[in-house]
Amino acid sequence: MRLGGRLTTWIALSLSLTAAPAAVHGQGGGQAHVEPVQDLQFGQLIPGAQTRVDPADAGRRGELRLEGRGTYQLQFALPTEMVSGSGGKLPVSFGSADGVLVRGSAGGETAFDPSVGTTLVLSRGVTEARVFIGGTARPTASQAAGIYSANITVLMAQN
Amino acid sequence: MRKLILTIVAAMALVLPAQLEAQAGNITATATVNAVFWDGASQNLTFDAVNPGTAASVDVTTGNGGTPGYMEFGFNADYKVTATTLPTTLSETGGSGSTLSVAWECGVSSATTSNPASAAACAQGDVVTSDAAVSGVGSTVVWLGGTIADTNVLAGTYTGSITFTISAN
Repeated sequence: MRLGGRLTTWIALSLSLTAAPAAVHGQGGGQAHVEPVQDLQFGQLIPGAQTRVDPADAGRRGELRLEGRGTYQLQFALPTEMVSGSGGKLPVSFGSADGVLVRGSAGGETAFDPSVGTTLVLSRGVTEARVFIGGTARPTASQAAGIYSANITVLMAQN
Repeated sequence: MRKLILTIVAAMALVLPAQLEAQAGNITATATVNAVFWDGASQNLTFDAVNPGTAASVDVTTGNGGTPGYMEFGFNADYKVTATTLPTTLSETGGSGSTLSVAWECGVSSATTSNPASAAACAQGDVVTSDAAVSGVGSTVVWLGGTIADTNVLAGTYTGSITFTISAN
């Protein structure tokens, strides 16, 4: 009986140790990773003529690759203007149709508003996703010539 | 032994809470606004009737002596305006081969409705105006006048083709 008691105790310990690592991840899984793939490129602009890049425009849209396991909240720090080397400012905006999320390699596309953000669920079997970002550049009629740029930051935070 | 096991399990429990993860990534939005130059309004230079033996001039600052010529240019980048074609003679249109020698003067203003405050001699190839600190879209007007010193030539109408070109500075 004493032996049976010891055996029981040993098994319980082993299960506890095995369970612990899973509990550490909780709703999470693998480490989250955000990788920039392509900048958002408005290209050549003419003063006074606004230009929109659609998230479906593979050559010009901004693109990031996301990896992880779990449920994540995606939030975007978006600029309101691009700035040139000489300090010129070119207004830019992002609307409800300027974000697209694609889960996995064959997942459907989900449109979202980058200014609001969206939720990403990466579960067993689908551990990566892509985010496409479009937007509208609005050069003024008096826009000076130059190269303008601004940063877009994507935050992938686990729920 | 039992007490030891309980202790181990408890220790593991302290590290159980899920570690929240957050990752950030950046991309850049870029755009290029082209340097754009364009032609605006223009006006031919016309001397009033020239009498043989009397020099004739068109003054761009006052408009005296005839109608000054001008060309308006628009820009959104640093620019220069060059007198790319500014002949030294005008040719008689009747085919006589007679010519009139002209000494040109150029001036600059901001609008076609305001004459330049001053003028200076100009010749073919000269950069008559430029701006290396353009901060937005703007326009400039190049004016042309001149003096015909020797008018003892065959009677007739004399003309010449003149070109100013705006380009990046």
